[in-house]
Amino acid sequence: MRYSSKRNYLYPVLRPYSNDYVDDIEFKTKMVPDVDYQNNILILSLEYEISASSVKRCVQSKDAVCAAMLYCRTTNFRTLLKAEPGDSSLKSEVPLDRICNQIEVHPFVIADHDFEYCAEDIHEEYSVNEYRLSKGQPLATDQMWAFSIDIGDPVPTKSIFRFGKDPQLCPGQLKLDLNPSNIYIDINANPETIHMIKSWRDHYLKMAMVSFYIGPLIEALRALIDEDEEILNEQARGWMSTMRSKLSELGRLPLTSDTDLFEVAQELLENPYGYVNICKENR
Amino acid sequence: MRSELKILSEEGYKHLLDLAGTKPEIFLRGEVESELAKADNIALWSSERPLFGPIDELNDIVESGPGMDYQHSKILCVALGELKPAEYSDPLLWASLNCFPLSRYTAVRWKFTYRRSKKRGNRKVSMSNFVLSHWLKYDSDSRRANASARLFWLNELAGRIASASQSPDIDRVLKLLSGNVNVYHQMLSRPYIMANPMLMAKVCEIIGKAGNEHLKQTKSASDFFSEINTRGGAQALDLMNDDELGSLVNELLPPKDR
Repeated sequence: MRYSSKRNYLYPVLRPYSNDYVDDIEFKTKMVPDVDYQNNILILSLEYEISASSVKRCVQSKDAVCAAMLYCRTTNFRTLLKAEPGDSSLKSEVPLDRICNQIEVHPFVIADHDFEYCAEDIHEEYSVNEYRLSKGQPLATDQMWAFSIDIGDPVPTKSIFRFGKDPQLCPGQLKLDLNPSNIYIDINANPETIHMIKSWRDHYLKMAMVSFYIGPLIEALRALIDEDEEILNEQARGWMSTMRSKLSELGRLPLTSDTDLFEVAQELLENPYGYVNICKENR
Repeated sequence: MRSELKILSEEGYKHLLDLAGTKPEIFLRGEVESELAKADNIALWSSERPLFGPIDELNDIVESGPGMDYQHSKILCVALGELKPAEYSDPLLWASLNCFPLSRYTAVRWKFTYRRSKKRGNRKVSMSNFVLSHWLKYDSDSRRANASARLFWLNELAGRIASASQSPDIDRVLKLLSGNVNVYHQMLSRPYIMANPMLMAKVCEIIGKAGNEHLKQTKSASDFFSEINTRGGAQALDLMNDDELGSLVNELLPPKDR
């Protein structure tokens, strides 16, 4: 095999932005996090979609296993979660007392013991297609999933927001994405606006709260009210779970069409930072 | 004995960070409390937590002689009682300890000496950085420098290692780590290794048998743990059993330092 700086491994590994395998072969994962506050556990469900026949075969033959590394950036807790041998989905429970706030999940398929891997549909640059893999070596890796959870300890409400760049948007325009399976409220803006938001957020937090966070938060709360309550409870497990205890502390549950969302959003944003009546006077 | 530890608020902590930049000498002289008395417009405290032992002892012990980290570690951990991961991950807890009840311990244990070099910059900058790393900051880069956090972690790591060892003896591990600062400092600065008690136990077992000559030099220890980290980047070491980890550690262990 010729040396190529694009290759991180000495054998083909199926992963995003890599051409170790031919173009139409992919490895995708879907993840749904849920928090069971009664039993104090984080429940993670992962689905693995593997279109590489050789990798898939290794999972089915139990030479390799679907797994994920969970890492908490706050407490440094890390654990390896493994699917049942032969299974391409993983469901695992993690005690909430080990983690706090920022969680990363790195999905991959790894060798469960030493074996000869016979790779198919790999890039022509690889001169051989048989490799000796050691236990723990990855056959496929996906991008990490990151999310925040509220475990009742102080979590800045702003951690439920995530900013993304969208060059199609006009300067100053914010596009809100409320994906209920997502922990975040995604706020998209063009790169210049994102730059401005970040610089404001770092230097004028109070101003940023009023300018950027409160509008999207009101819209997010309104979206919850518009849903049927039964559906809401089911769908709200994403970003709603991050706010649930705070809304509860504020005595703001359930939200109804009579609720003053501006006031609720104000309370949600000011609590973690101790700002009092940021702009009630200016309404 | 039971007393209370006041925990700084975010605002109070930010004020201390500012003071570390403008007046770092007050930390070295143990004058933070009197300086803060002037800041009456700031909400300095957010909460209180109980202390279960005489934490002041640490100040007296360190002033009467250098003492040993493992002894200090025990006193601190008894005083703190059980901490949840969310609590021990909070920089405010450690800053509250270092700047107030343990202000004398921190100043005596971490004496500032200025050595002129390009990296250290001028005296004021150097002193500010010194105060930030030993009194205030707490992250993976500064965990091993934070005066009280490193004592807590010495005990915590010893506990984790002992429970993953074949012959669990927490006091023996505590003394082993305390006598091998290079080893436990390297562990503290690498979350990947900290999160694998079996691997840490294997390292301790091997250096316990072979003596500390292999990892006596900071560079040798750093290179060794970097190698493990690199290996962990290409292979999930969590899957390895005791024998496999033993072979890995033996393979990567450098020759004895002179």
